[in-house]
Amino acid sequence: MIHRVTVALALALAFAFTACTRKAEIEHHTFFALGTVVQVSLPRALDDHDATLRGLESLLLAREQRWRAWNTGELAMINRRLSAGETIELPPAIARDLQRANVLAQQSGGRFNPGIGKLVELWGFHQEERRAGSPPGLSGISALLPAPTLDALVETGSGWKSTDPRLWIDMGGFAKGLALEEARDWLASRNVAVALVNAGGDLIALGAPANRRWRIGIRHPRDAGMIATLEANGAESVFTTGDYERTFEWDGQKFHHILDPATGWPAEGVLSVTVLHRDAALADAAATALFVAGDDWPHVARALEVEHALVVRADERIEVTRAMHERLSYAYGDESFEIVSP
Amino acid sequence: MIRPGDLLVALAGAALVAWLASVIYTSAPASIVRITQADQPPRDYRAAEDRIIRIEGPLGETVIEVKEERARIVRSPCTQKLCMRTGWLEASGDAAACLPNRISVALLGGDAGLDAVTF
Repeated sequence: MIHRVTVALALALAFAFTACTRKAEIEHHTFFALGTVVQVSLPRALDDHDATLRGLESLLLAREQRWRAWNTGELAMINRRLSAGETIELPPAIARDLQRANVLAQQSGGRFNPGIGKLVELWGFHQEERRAGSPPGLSGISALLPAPTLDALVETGSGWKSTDPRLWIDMGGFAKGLALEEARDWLASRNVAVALVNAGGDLIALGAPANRRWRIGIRHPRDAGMIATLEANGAESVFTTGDYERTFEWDGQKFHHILDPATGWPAEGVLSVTVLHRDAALADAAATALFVAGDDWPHVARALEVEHALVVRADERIEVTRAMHERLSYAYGDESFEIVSP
Repeated sequence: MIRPGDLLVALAGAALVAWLASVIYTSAPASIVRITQADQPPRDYRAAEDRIIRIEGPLGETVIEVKEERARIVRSPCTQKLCMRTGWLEASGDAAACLPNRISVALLGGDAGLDAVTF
């Protein structure tokens, strides 16, 4: 006679394996917005992927247009009028987000500074494709130092004006975080409980796929491999800033786009920073601030209340906070890493 | 107490598991290479089939190589060639994009893979 328990066990084992062969429960979609490729992962079971994607795409395109700091962007118009000395009205949503950016800028000790658009332009990093040519001359850079900050934007009885004609607001390093934070709220308002929105390597998570958490790989800044993987909870965001995103070479030397507002030159000492935080906008600003801080990144992380950070130093040493270390699995090799307390 | 029938069921169970495992693991990298062009529906290719894919974008031709379940952009008309420097995409969730030519390549599929890669 055959024991029922044994039969049940054999069947359970068989089902455990067939469960893995089920079609993936998550579907991936791609569109272009925020100046990058946006990959959206949604549960197959969700009704009407198309309407969700179209809504998300138009929201992100609208935010791209709002925060574009040059050419035809809404912020570009604001910049032009402010630098011409005009007193202007700011739409409440823009005024609110600029004030938020300034609070984070101050907390970061000026490492994150949305007021350095003129420096960004001087280096040519305001264009999608930088024109070939040398780095800017020293006199051009020093004329923009000390760099203006959003403190120069003041509210008067009749509107907003700039007290520094060199102020040009550039929300790169914050706009994507703001937009993804809004995307999260928008998805939640449409009862989308499970989603992953990845905008060119910076992402927000909502909920989780069935029976597991979102698995995020952290790419090594110098090769195509992964440093580690991390499991993100719903309502978390992961942002990475790296020195490889926008670069140019001149006279055998490589220059990247993350400028140190204190020196006016590309920040040194770090190859990439990954920050995990519930707040996407904060994660975005913090990734830039920690990058610029270099050696001093643990202090800036503490000032911004960032607990989860991974920093790849210029010599490819990997430094992580303890909280981040506990979230990572270093499954892709024996990378040497060091736990640092913020 | 174990009887001969138990052994039989256990063996049958083990055989079933072994067979399923062989089916699953030989087709495990059943991942796909998804190529997306702005304003067009994505095109999927089996990662297991080696091929060269040529896509015409606004700047010109982008050439994508699929080989041994990996993919990479081998030629691109853009000036920075960031997409080519990304190198081989190997893990599910890995992606490379040529923004100037509005083309992206991503590896997808396989439950064991990654949902996304941060960079």
